[in-house]
Amino acid sequence: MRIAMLTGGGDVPSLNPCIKAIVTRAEELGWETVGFRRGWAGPLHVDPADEDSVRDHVMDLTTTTVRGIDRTGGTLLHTSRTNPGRVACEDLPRTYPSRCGPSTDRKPAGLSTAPITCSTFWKGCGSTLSSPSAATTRCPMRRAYIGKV
Amino acid sequence: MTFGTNYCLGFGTAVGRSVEFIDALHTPTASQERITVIELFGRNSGETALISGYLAGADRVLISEVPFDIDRLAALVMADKAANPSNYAIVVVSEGAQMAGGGTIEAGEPDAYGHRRLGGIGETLGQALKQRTGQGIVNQSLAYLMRAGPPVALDRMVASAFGTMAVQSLEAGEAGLMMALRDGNYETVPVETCIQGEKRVDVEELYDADAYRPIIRTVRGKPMYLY
Repeated sequence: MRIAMLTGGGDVPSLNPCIKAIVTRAEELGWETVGFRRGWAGPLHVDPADEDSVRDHVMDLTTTTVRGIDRTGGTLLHTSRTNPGRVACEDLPRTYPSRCGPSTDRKPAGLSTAPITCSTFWKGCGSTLSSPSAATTRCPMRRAYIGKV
Repeated sequence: MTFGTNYCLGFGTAVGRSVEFIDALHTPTASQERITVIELFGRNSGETALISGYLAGADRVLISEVPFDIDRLAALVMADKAANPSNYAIVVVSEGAQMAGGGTIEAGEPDAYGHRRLGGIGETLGQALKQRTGQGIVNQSLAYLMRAGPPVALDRMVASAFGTMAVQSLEAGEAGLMMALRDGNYETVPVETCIQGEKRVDVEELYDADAYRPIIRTVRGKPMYLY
């Protein structure tokens, strides 16, 4: 099992202890954990064929990397207001060229075509409002949510 | 009817910080015998203002759910100041609050979720109070200070439990669930819960819309933060 997590929307204090708890328990179960950086901008911009983009948007998480983060506010993974269901064409990464023709309504489907591998998502409710259901049908991943509601 | 869940991660820290700062603002306000207006984050819910103002003993609390009449408020605050042996008054205002006849004060471009930045009602209110009362006003927006710095122990507790429960949920083969506190227990709820409505102050139960302050009369059977 491999868990991918991201934190989206407002950086409420205690996201870090939450990340730490997930990583700790996952490691006990022998599962791997990675974090996408900057909310939904992470999975949106990561291109597995481009090492730089992976380095910039994905972070391996272990009990060593999360040691002590529970004492801090903010979020280790950083956050953004990126809405995967509503991304302006000019903000899309080059992995989505077909979505940016002149006939598009400038609201491409975002993650429905994202080149991400099957992962399990965890995310804050702060940016859940229009999360793309298509992502779950293309990719057999399971999501668990920790909302800020 | 209570919408949503019993607890929002970060709320304990936001309220804790707000109470500390409101407490601290009593001393300069008293020494200078002024009226202090403290604006809090909370978007269109007055919950942070209501609970923080209640716990910190603010004289009046203006919430997003109830537009306020500035003349009425000015009279109430002047009475508060006169009744206070140290001759000062404290008003807490939610960033989404609005003066009767006015609107919310927003700025900037909408983000990807269509939200514009709220804020500025504290300054507007301070000016209006000064105009009507002639008193010295201190304006203080707590803004990001409410969520800056380390989480309080309550948030660490709930966040750690939510994280562990998320892994437990995945281990059980579940999907599409959100970790939550409900009826005082750790539970999972469908993730759609968070888009089924907007949690706002239960004005009937918790707020005196004439006196512009919290009024807590019945508590038994209510969740920890009362709704």
